[in-house]
Amino acid sequence: MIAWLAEQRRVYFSNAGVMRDFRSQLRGKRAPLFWSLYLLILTLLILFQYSTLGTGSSRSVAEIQANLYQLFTVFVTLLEVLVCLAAPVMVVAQIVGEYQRRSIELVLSAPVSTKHFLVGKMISGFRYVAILLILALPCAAVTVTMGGATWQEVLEIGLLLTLRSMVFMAIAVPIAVMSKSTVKAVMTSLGLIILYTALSYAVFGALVLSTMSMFGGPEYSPASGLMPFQTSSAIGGSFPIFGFDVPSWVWSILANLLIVKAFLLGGQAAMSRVGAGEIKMLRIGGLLFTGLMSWGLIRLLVPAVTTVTSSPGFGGPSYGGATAVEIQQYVSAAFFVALVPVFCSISYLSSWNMRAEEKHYPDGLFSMRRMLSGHPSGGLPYLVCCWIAAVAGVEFGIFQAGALSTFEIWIRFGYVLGVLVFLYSLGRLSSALTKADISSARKLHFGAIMMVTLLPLPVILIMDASSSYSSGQSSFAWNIYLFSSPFMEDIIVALGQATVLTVLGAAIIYISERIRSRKTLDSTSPIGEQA
Amino acid sequence: MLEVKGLGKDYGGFTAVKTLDFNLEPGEIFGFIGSNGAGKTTTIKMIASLLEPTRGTAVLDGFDVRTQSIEVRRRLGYMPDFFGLYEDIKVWEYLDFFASLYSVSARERPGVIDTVLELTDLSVKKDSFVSELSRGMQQRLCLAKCLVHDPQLLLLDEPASGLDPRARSELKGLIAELGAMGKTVIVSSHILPELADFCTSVGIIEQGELKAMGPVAEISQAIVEEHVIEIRLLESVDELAEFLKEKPHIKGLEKTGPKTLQIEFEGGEAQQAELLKYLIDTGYPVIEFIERTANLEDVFLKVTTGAVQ
Repeated sequence: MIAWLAEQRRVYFSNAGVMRDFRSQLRGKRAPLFWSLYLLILTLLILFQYSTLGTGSSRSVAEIQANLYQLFTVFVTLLEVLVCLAAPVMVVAQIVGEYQRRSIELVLSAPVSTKHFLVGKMISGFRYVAILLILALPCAAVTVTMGGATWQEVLEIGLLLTLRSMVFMAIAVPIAVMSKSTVKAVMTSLGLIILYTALSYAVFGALVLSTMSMFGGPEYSPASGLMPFQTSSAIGGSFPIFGFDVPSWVWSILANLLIVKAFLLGGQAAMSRVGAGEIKMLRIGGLLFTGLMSWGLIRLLVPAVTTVTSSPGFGGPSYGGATAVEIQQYVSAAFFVALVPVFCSISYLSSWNMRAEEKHYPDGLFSMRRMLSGHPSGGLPYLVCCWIAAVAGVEFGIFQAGALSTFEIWIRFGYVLGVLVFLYSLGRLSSALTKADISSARKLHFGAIMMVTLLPLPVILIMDASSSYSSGQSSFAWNIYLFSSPFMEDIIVALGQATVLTVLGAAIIYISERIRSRKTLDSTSPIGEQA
Repeated sequence: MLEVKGLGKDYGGFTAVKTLDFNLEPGEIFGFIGSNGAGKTTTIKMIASLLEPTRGTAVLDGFDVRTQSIEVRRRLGYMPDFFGLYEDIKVWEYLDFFASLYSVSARERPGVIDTVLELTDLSVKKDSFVSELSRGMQQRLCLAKCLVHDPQLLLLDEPASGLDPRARSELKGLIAELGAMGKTVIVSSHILPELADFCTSVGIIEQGELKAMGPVAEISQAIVEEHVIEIRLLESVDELAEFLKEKPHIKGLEKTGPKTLQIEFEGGEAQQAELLKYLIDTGYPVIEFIERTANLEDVFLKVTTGAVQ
């Protein structure tokens, strides 16, 4: 325990890397110039906005205060955008810089953990972000002194933005560790932040909307704590967790810290030695942590949402405003959206070509051992597994909280298994049929996916239209469409479809592997060699 | 102190290092010789716990590089074949950073920094920026960084590459001094004559396989089956050449000059002494009678085939 505490102290409070970066950050003239310019722009912005508030004698004091509060929320969102742009750049520059000058090997030859290194880099990167936030304080103070926001809100926002910046940095950490170019790493990180934002809005948007004041709920939602650029909605009020009234900012900090930890585990796993015991532990730990974190957050969140208000919504049982059916529809759509990255990665997981496979993956493309040993070919499968663990955690949490029925949860798991196996099998078939290059194999795979997803649509839509016209019901043809399972109401049909997809996929994989092994044998036989 | 047991590394279907076994004792300076791609750097990185071995392991002072890498790292100093320096900080700050990484207490650090700077002859550059140092100085700074925690094992990968003759000579002296201090040093290099000067033992690696290992003299004797003896006379060696043709232990002879003769001799030292006595007794005016020993370069060329993986 004492050794663990000493290690934590070494990592968080006396990190050698932080001191080294601090020394170089203190030097140079560009930083003070940049900060001065930043402060000047902020001040001018506030002065301009403020001058527009007082004009017009018809405005009451209350109206001006409301405008000031609006100014405060706009200001906070702008600040978060700035933090979102600055945080990944800072941490990526710090980490990729170490790889580019190859000093990383010197650092890792010292008795320090990957966590020590990455936390040090995050703290160093955060130093810049902290200056951004501190310099913005005087401007935020205007809205307090003139009315509108309170000091408590300013402090809570500051704290939450700090955590948000950590999340943005943590998202960039695994990318930076795997990248050799700063620009590419920054662009990828920003792309990932946008994806994270979009998905968090898709998944948690339903829960936020269901509790917002427009639906009869309170002004704030605990789910906002998980959604970037919703910082002003994530403070204020409190929520019952295990019977305790927890301030929403405390909940937001906890949730963001857990997300930081998940990405940091990913960064550590990406950085560890290939094949080392620690990487296996980190990867298994990362998978478990991601799944448990998602489950835990949702498990805490959903009851909090449902008990915020017991007032009936727009008819029927209410979840703080929106009906249970509405929430289920939202969550179903969100679940589908959340799986899009997994579907998009299928080609990269399954489809290469014969030559590339023989050269780089002689014993097959996917193996659990490769994934956990840190082998480069196991990187993407690991990320996909993490993603699936997160989605599964969310779904299971929603199910346990009572927002999903057993039927719906089975539909989802069956659907994921069936569609993934089927799409993976198409990739394996494309790979086995292609000898030329990777892009040909992937084009073939993409074409196959398009065929099974887009081609049936016109036929189904026509059948659906005629069915609606004649009987007023949706066509049965939807039941055989690939992406319809999560929306089906008939469990037998839905599970039947999942089973058919899984069996069909398994058969295609078997045939593909037979083709693959026969081609490999042909090329190694004397006749093949002569040819 | 360092036991390398069946250490090997594969990259997919490619074997970078087959199976290495050797032991090193304190104070030993081990020269690791091999052409580019032979597996030197991979081996050094595996011992430094920067690469995970595919098979086997290395044990430093009882700590296994595979399972106790942090403990191993505390006991070794690693200097790669590139500098990897932070150029925007000062020399003492650079050393302070590494001392901190190696958990040298803040109280002890100034003293340690002064000591290693003195040892590497960089005291006058203490407050200079790293970017202002010459290549030789940067190399010494990198070595100084390896010494801040007083390691038992030093892993120096191509430390003399790119250095001018003076800087090389200084580095050579420094490594010899470290060996004298009781540290075990593994140094890889292409510059073979320099290694022979200060290495107590060498290992020749080719295609990931250790072809020969031991003190230079022992390897030379083991590798070179025949002894080559050079004889110089005051007069022409024509008559001597004819005379020696029929003598025992003489496998071949070659005139290398009007008064010099080189013979391939199969006998041992006793037979050599006998031959010399016989020549003198017979009345040949012998000025020199020298056994030409194989140098490290000869041994290297003899042992290796020049094949690359």
